[in-house]
Amino acid sequence: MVRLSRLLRLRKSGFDTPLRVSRFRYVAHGANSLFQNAEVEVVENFDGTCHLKSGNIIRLALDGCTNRPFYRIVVSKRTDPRDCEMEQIGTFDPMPNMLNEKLCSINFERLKYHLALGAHPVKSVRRLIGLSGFLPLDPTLLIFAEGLKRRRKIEELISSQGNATEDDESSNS
Amino acid sequence: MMSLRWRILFSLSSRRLCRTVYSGPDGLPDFTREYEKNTDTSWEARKLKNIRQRVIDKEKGKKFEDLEKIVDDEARRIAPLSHFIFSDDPAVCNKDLMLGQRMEILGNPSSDGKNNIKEKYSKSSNLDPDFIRPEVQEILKRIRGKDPKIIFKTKLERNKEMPKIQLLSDEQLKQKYEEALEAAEKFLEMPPVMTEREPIDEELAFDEKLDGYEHSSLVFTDISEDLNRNERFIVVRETNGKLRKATWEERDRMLQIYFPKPQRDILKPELFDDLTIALKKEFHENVLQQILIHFDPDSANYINLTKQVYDDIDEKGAFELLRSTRFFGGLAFYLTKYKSIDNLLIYFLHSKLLEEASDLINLHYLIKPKSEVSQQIQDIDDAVEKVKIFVANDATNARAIKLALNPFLKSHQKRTGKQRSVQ
Repeated sequence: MVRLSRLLRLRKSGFDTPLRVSRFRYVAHGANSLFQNAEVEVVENFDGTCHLKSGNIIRLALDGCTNRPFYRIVVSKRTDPRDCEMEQIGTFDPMPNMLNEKLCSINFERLKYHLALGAHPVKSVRRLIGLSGFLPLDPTLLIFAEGLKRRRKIEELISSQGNATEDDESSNS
Repeated sequence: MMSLRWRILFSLSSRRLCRTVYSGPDGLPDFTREYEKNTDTSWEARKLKNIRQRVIDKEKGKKFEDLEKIVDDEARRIAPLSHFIFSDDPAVCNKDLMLGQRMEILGNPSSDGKNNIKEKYSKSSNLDPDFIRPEVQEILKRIRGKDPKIIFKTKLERNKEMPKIQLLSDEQLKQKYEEALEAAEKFLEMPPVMTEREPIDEELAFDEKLDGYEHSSLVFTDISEDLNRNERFIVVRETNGKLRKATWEERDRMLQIYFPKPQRDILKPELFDDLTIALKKEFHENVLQQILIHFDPDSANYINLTKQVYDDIDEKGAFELLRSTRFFGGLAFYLTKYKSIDNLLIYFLHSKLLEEASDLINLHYLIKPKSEVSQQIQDIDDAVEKVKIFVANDATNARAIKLALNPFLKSHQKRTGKQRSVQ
């Protein structure tokens, strides 16, 4: 018998996940000496490769009022509730302002620090970092954007065909 | 469905809740759309119609008389500029202080004769090279005047300290008076005159695949601490997929949001749209203070607006308004470099300030030198003859200057004993 929670989790993520971004920060063999921080652990896989083990996650914490979201970019543990934090790194405003801009602020110094010690940024934060130009673009973003374009082309074709048929009918009748 | 009893209770309670403000014969608003019909001539309908018409007109750009009242109130606002604009420590100028900290930059008096301006300002490359010269600075300080009544006049601010009462002898009083006059120079620190900054037009990347991904552009700012205000990265990703550096206006806005300067608004007040309304009522000093607060001295807005104010003063001849304030140096510099000194000279001669007139002419030939005339002027000390040479060579309004010179010539004649006709 399979647990219900496991099934729900699979249904959300998709039974076939074609793309999976690496969660770990891979590190050279014998890199223990480089890190002075005692909280850092270097774990050896069966392959012989090593990666940093840290439960830190960079994600968006939701604040604001009803019908008015406002996110804070935050470093926390996976098990913590959504709005708790160890450190705040920036902000993101998803509602565009009078000049049609969405404002985002990031403290790149602390970002570098936490990324180097093995924190894993979530999909939304990864996309923001890629759009800002600090790191290369996220592959999930590009795939989504290509899919968007294809869908819009199809919609345009359908609407243009619909208009063409209407014109033919009006001209004929 | 509510029963009868509940309906009665609800209606009674709702009326009580709504009728908090008496706004006419019926306390409740009119939810039926009878106001759209022109037959209704009650005062409520007329009020609503007027409001709608005003909104439509404002979107089209019509100006109302109420704008003058708003602009008037904004111009009367005495901006509490910190008496010390710029501190001597460049570290304090360049650091961005976080929200919540007080931005009172109190500068210590510059000892050791450190009058070098370049060390004070972080954007020293944009300073006007003629403004930096120490000879020019000395002349501007002398022209400005030092009336203690105007410098120490009371402003509508609460005193942060209780006034001190001391028993002093006459000599000690004189000493304190002189010390106060020396300290008054900090109240007269001149805002810098800079050339216009070059526009930013740099493209970092162009990703065509992101075309149409977002409907609005994204603006990213770097919040790391201990960074110079000009060195922060502020970057815009447009809906095309184009990554570019932000323009100067966007930069100013973002830096004001995340690292604000005191009393500066993000949406600039309506004063600056139409300065003529405020300048009619002679609020030049307040307007200049607000321009200093809201804009950087580099920007095009600052230069255009100060130009308007200086031109207005020049036409009217109202130089008294800025006398013995910190803005007089900028006025004099602008007039010598980009316009003519004639009106200023006439003002000095009418108010019998001959030393300032001679200093002005020295200034003019420092900034616009002529080989023949500048040597003559350095030799001569008498102000009247300097003015005559200036009139002969470089004056645009010679007749008015000669008229103003007449009383000095007669006294000059009386001393020498000759009688000459005015030419």
